[in-house]
Amino acid sequence: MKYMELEVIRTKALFVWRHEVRISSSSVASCMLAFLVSLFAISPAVSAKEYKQALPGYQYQFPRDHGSHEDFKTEWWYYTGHLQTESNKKFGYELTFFRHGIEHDSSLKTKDDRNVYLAHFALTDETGGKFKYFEKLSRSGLPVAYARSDILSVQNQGWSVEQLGDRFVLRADGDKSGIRLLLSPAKKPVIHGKDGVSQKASCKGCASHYYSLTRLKTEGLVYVDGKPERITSGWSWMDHEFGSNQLTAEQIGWDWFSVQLENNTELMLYVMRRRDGSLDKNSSGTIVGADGTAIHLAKDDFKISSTSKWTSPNSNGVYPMGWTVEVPKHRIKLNVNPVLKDQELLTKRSTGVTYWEGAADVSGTVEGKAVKGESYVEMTGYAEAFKKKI
Amino acid sequence: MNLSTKLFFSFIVRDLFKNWVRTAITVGGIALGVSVFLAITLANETALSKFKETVDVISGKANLEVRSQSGRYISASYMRDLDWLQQLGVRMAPMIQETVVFGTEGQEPVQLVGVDVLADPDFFAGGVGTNESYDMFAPDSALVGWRLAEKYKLKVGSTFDLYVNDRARQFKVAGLLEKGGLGGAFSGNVVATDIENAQAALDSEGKVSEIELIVPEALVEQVKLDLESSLPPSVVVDRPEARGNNVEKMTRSFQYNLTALAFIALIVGMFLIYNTITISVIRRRGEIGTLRALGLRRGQVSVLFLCEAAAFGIVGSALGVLAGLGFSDGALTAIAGTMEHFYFQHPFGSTSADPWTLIRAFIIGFVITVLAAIPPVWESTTVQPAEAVRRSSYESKVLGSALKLSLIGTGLFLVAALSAQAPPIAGFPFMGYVSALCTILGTAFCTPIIVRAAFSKLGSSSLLKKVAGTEGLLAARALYGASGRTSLAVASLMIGISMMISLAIMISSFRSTVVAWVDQTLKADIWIQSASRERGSRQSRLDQSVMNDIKVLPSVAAVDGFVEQRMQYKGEPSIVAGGDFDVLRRFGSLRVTSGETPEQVFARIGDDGCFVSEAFAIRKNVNTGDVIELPTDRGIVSLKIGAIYYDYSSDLGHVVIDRALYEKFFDDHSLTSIAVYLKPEADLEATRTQISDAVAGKSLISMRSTRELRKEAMRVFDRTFAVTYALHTIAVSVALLSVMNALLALSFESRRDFGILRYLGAQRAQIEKIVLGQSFFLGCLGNITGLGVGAILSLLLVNVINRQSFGWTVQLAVPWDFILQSGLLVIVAALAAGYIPARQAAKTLAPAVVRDE
Repeated sequence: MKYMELEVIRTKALFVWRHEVRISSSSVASCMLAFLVSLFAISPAVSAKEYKQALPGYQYQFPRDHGSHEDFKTEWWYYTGHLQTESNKKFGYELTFFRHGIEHDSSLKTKDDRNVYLAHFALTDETGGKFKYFEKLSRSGLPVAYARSDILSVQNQGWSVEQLGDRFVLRADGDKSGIRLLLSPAKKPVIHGKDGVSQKASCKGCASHYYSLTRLKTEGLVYVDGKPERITSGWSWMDHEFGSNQLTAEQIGWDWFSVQLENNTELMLYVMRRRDGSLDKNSSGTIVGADGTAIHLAKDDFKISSTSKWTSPNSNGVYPMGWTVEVPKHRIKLNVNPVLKDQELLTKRSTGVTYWEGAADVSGTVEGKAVKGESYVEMTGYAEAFKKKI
Repeated sequence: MNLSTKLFFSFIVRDLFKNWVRTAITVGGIALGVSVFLAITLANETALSKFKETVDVISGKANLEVRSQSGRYISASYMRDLDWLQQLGVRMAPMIQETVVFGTEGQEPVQLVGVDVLADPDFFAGGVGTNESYDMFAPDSALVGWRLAEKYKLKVGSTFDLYVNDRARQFKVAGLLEKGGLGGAFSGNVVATDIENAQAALDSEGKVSEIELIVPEALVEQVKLDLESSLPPSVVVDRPEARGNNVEKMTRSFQYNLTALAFIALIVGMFLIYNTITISVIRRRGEIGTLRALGLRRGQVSVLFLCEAAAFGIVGSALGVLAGLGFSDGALTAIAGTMEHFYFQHPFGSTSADPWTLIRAFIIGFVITVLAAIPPVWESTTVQPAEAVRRSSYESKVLGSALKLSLIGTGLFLVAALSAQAPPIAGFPFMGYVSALCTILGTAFCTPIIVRAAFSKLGSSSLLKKVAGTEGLLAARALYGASGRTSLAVASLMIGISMMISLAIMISSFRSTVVAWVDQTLKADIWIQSASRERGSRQSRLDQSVMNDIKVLPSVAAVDGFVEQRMQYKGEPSIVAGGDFDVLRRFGSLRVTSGETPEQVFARIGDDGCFVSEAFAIRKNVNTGDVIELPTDRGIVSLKIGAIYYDYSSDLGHVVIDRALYEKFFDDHSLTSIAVYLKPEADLEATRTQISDAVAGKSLISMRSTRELRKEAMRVFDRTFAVTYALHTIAVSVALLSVMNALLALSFESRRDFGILRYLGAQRAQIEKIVLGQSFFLGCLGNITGLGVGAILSLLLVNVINRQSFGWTVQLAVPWDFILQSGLLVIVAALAAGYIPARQAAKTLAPAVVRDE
């Protein structure tokens, strides 16, 4: 559900960039990036004409749909997970690949589709209480970044996700940190929304095609301070989403939750926050049963409330911290608590977005039974909204 | 004012003003030498430093780069092999660049630079002076450098054309690059686009010129080593600065030779000083003796005269620095044309005067002046006071040492002969220059004996008496009598004239060799290249379809598609080329050193062999039958040298292989030029029209007939030698200055003799005749010795210095007409120089001087 991140926040990012460009040394690259960023910002007006819209009735086909969809403007592959190593340390990780299509005046046809590729990698050392993140910014036309259409194979400057039979291989490195993971799906893909579309706003086509692999057994190595640690137990979550349209101007951000419970069920929820403080009616969620069946949740089927606040020392953004999630219909009541408060990413180099994405512990009850679990939470639009009041 | 300063002013400065003509000539000579030296140095340094600056600007903070060894570009796919470096904190950015032609209004070469607009900002210096937001990914988006923006009044949104290869492409200005950064590179003649757009424009998808890396400084050497071992040998891994070193290597011969020639101008200036000080000292031996007799110490006298030299040095060098600054832009223009044509393309703009270079030129001028003054000053002070006051004691000394000097001269000739045989040192004909210098000095040392021999004969010649009367005889005898001073005059004349003659012979030999080569090798009827190449985009290519379109025309007998590109052979820049061996065999335009016919050569070497140009063979020290290892995109290939052919189109050296092989090795299917051979009955103009029609709308080409191409070749030749021509003119001027200097001094010195003659009843006209006769004899002797030394120097220049520097065999061709004209000019100048002293001498009031005596 990171769909709009590239869109709404880009509008804000433009201003951030512009500001920085003026006060800093205004290097060619930053200006070029300003061009690029502004391109993103301007694009909603023209974009939907050339790219396909995410419309109801889309028929998924796997493994083909794991690959890239160049007909759609924006696409990402999102991996989050919780890892336990042989020395009993716990880690959370996030590895995200974005593809963003660039289009031009159609009279200036270029040979191939052009894309910008972005990627974020974050590692939360739960035991050590440390959080590190890294980013990549690339483009098509050079062999260092690409996303294949025929099969899942996404590369960005040495970071990659690749399909290997039924499994997936993840690889990413940052300063003395890195992951080499082998992910094996325990469940079939879960398609979110209704009729193959996950609606994001009320306008037609303001939606995406969105599915998840909610339970991926995770093996491999995690590098910390240059030392490899073997993973003894780990579970990951994969989101893949593609579409062409943007958020509306009223939507300023969202909160997204993925929850993996010990009882072999999963929960995905997102709420879209509106400028006026209300929640968009297109907020929704999905419950995945132990057998893999998915149940769609509409906005009114669930309720999320936060228990405290945290002010980021880096962005000055004020984030909710600690949540209570309730799905009355299914008698679910969960407390979600971040393992570390500072899991904020300031991605100046790539998306230009500041957001919070972090590992969290889960405890609560499902149908009266106590359960534990793990979660990843994403919150956007807090820092920029605070700073810029767009 | 203390005594010594007083003495300096009354004894030296007053004298300098009194003899203002000679002072002016001397100062002028030094100034000329220093200015030529400075102008050439500045032009050379600017050319290189502009290139280096640009490398700095466009590679930003990159401290390592991967580029091709075998051609222009490398595959961008190497970036994937470098991905892992990111774990070491290495950042990476690709770049593609080429000189293309900026169109619309003016048409001039500009640098097209394709950068990854998303790469790390540290790869770019400077910024974009615009706040407009624009889509840099649009295929026609471009940022332009400050000079283009200023000259063509470009604004955001204006459009312009770039001529790339054989097509024109329209671009739209997305922003103006700031002067301080990328926009100032290439003197502001730069167009930057996103890399994909540049690749598309250059028809080079998937290729890059460089992959720039920012490596943590501590790891640079390690990363370099690792990459060198893991990447194929067709790529090099080096610091970006190394590109500057490559250019330095490439242009070294050209630049060193220019510097050496400029240095000769300085040396001639030095001789002028030696001459002046010597005469100044001789003239005042009496005064020196008096000063010494009055108790002045030797050191004090020396200092007096050295101060005179220093005064010359300071004034002359200062004027030289000013003049040099003035000439430097002209020198740069002259050099830039050659650099752009033969070595690397880079719009230079104007020279930048590094203060250190100016100071250095001044110091060199000053030091050389003082050094030149030391021997005569020292000599003058070795005499005892009593000896010094006696007149013509110097002459008796010269008499005794003439033989000794000629022995030294002979020794120098021996050194000259030996060093002429020596091989080049680091590609530079150092010993060749030593040989030239020894020849000049050797002759200078032998001058006294020559002068004595010549004028003793002449002074008793009855023929002379018949032709020039008693006055002629007297003139010859006077010269003999003052053979010390005469020798100096002759030697300085000889140096100037020999330089003039040797340069003239060298240029004429080169020119006639190139003319002959052009005539012999340009056998096709029509020559085609892309329009942008004609306008200065040297790497511009044609599509092969152009050749195919022409091949099928009814009046065309054959076409030879030729393609060439830069490569690095053993770390030295060279050129690899592909030609159609079959056409070359049938139409035979290669002339090989072995003298075989094309059929014989091709029958011998087959399609897998290669030709190398003479420049390649000489500079890389290889021979027919040797196997050379060539870096190609397919790895290192071994080629056997089938034959060496004459080529004067580049001194970097060509390796020519069959085009089929070239295409295989380099995966390059474009052409640099096409030679079209017509059927015997075909009409040239009609075929040109047919060719134009055949490619119209597809390819922008430039066509030349062989006659036009010959003309163009000679134009390029003349441009290359422009600086040499200029130096030549300066050599002539310095030669004439030294004639005047020597003669003025000599005539002035003879005033007392003339006084006696007048006393004895000689008429004014007779005195004038004697003085003019002296000038004439000196001019003649200077001419003869100068011609002899000049001939030897020209042999050294042609067969040793140029051959070692550029690897060209040049057939000697003597420009008799020039030699005759310049000989006459020297004599006329000698007579003119003698005119003023002759008038003065004639006016000499006999009683006054005789009373003196």
